[in-house]
Amino acid sequence: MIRYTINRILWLIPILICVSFIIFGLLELAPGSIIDTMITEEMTTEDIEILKEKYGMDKPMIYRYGLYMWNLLHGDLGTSQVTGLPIFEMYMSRWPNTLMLSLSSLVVGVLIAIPLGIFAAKYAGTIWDNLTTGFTMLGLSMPAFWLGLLLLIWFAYRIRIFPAGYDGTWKCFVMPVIANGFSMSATITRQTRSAILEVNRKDYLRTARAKGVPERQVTRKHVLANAWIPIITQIGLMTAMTLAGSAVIEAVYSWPGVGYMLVDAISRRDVTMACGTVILTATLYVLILLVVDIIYAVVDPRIRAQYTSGKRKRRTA
Amino acid sequence: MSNESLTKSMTGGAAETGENVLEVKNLVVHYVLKKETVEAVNDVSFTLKSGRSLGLVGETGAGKTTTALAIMNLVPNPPGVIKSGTVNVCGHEMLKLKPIELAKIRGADISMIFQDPMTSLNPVMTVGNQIAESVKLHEDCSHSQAFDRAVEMLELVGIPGARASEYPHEFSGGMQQRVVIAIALACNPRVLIADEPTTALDVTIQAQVLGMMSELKTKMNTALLMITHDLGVVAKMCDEVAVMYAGRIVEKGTLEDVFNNTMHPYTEGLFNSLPKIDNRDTELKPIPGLMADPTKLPVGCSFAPRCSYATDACRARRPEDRYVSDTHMVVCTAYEDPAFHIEGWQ
Amino acid sequence: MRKSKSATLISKQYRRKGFLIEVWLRLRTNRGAVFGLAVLALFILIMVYTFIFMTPADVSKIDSKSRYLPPSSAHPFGTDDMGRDLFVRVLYGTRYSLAIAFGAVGIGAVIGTFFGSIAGYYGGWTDQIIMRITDVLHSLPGILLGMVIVTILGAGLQTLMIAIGFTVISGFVRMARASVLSVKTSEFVESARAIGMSEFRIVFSQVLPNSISPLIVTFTARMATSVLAAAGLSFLGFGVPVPLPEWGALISAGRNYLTTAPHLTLFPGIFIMLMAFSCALLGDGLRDALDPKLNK
Repeated sequence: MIRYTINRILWLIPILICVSFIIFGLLELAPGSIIDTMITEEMTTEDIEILKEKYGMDKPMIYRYGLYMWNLLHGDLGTSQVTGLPIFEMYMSRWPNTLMLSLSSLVVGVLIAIPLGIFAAKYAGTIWDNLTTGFTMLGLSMPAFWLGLLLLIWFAYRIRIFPAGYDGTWKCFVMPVIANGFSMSATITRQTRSAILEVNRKDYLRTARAKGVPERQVTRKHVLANAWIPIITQIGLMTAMTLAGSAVIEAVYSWPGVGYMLVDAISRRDVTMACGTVILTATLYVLILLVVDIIYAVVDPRIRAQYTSGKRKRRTA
Repeated sequence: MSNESLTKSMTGGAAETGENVLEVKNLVVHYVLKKETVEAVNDVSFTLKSGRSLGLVGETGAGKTTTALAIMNLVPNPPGVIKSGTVNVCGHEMLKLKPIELAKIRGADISMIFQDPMTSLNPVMTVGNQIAESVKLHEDCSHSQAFDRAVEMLELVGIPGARASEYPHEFSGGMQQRVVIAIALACNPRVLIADEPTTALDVTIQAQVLGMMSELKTKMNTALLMITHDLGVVAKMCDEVAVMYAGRIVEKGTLEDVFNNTMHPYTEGLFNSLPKIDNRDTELKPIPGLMADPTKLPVGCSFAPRCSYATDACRARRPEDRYVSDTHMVVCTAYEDPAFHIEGWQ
Repeated sequence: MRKSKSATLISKQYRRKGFLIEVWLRLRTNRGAVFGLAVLALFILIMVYTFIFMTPADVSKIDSKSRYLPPSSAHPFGTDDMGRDLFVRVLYGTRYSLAIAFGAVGIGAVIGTFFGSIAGYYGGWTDQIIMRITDVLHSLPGILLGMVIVTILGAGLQTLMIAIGFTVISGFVRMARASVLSVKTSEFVESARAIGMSEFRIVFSQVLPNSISPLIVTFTARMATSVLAAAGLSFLGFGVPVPLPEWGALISAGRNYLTTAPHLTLFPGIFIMLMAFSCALLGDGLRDALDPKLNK
């Protein structure tokens, strides 16, 4: 298990190098650079050259990337080309806001989704199941930012019970959590329902019943113990995705998180800022996926066996 | 505890040979689907005494597994419906009990070994825990006592006890089947149903598993209902035989009755479709036609369309049970003519 | 020999005739899928209508006298800050979402399936290289990738399609590889090889057709998520450039008038939702229809 974890963490290094290279390279390719916005009519060619040198623009891209990575290894992501503030600190100061929003939406989403999914699976094929499916389909097809705006219109401008933006109290969480959590809970509900229905068809439940396990215990020890595996994976994926993809909801509520920060950086052509933000977010994303994989291996002995020792082959039963 | 003392303690509670431990009467099970109804089991009756073993033989789709599931009251519902009949296991009416009472009998008085070991074990539970779960449910003991028992059971079926903490995927198919058997035997049931326990296994493993089962059966004095389509397995394992066709028992008797004094044309057909090891020149005579469609069973004898002896009387009405000796029953209208006899198999 | 040939003939006949018709027959009984299909067809009709009867001039007709009008019979969805008719703009915008749903996902599907099949079929180094690149793509959150690509290529419909297409590639690579791997070792491929069929023909005549079910299911599922992702990118300003009435962009524009003209936000959103909803319903229906075992 430990070896597996170490292995996976080592795998992250080439992936992160590739990711950062791609992001850095792509943003370099983007038309227009930071100095374009600084060049003014009265600047001479020499002034521009000085400016280029200051930002390393006179050197080839690969040199700048190397320098960037070298600094990154020393924990220095540089400073924003626009504001001059250190990127790492800026990211870290905003990161808790994104984390809080993501985690609370996730918790609310999961708390609704799992009982609902179990309920739908229990009454599969009945009107209750159809209603739940309708609800989840709605959640899947409703754009989160649109739901966010509708909530804003109603709760912030009409009846004015929640603030329109971030104010640090619990009240400002209500709307973004609903907007974010709805689609999340829809996805997890579907996954829960189908995972349970999948397990329900398995022969080993019959074995359990044949040895006299009462129905309640069949559900708890046999059905859920197996259905957990895909559900946990789904929750993990959702966690990774909201942490990385919260930009849209953050934009709706002017949330001081990292997603909004990135949108801002890209639109201002702040290459170092955008690059740093993307690299940090991608790192976090990959780390969460790693945690999900490890949890996956902990819950499912078949997966665990694949990694703990090479001596026995995986048997797909 | 050694194997010996374990089996001794287990046999202590077992029933005397000769007592009826399983009685199935007029069992009818249908699968009701949207467009059609599958008449899987139609009026099946038989009894099984403790310490004895009955082989239930027939082609795939004859209703053997459904009969077994109905005995356990485990027919998947929907679509399965137990239309009528009674099943009595050691004095308990299986089809009338509440789920909670049923759970107490399953695994303790009667248990079942399933066909496919690969899918019959919970992949996320160690095999030890899967055996111990059964023990804990039926006997008043702590988890560690139950687990100790599980380890003993594993050793009894020939798996090193140290492997109790491994998961099903770490075992081979034959080993998994042994685990399934260990689960079924963990609480020393008085009736054991084995549904094609060796079909999924290699021939060499088959012999091992069968040998082990008959050994355990003798040790524990368990009544065995062996479901199979393999006549060789029946000859090796069973005292009595019941032949099923299209949801009905068509011939029933002791091994001697059915094998050496075959009466039903279908049983004859089954034997004739087997290759003879001592006379390889004999031509195989497969039964013509296909298994009767259980959604559209004929009015008369279900086997009549494929039967070379069939008369109009066979096609017109259902044959009745006919006892030709104390033990030997045949369900065939043709025997109304006292002169009728089948050609017999070579 | 003769026997096996007639057997394959029979199975082929059943397949040819049966597969699509059977899927359709099963799909037809699924009310959700039929609804999804009907709505998608309606969207396509709307798009055709706008292509024939609407010019860009109609769509951007400014009328300073009728600004911020609420929905009425003259303007069913109301008007925006420049007095443009929102109904006309929303209808006109159908083409962008359809382009994303079919075009962008199509790009991703073609590229992804191509590389996935190659990786699965040839294995070895080819597989290693393709899958490692896919891993890297997969390690980038979709929305980040989308934003970065749009930034480089500049805002526009084609860019948005490429960006969305890129985000779905890794899913298709993995799906295609997995299904090719499962088909590759199957007996009918073995037998195709045994009768001397070339590797290339095996991939295209045996392996791919048998991988089509998961492909269709992935495709429709991605259509729904991609419509939403594209709307999200447009909303953030990384999509179709401003004057064009893409639905996400319309919402983004209406955002400044939430209190005065909420209909500007409401209607485009309903259309996005309908589009995603019908794709999702169709996807679900197709999944059940293609795999009758699941439909229990």
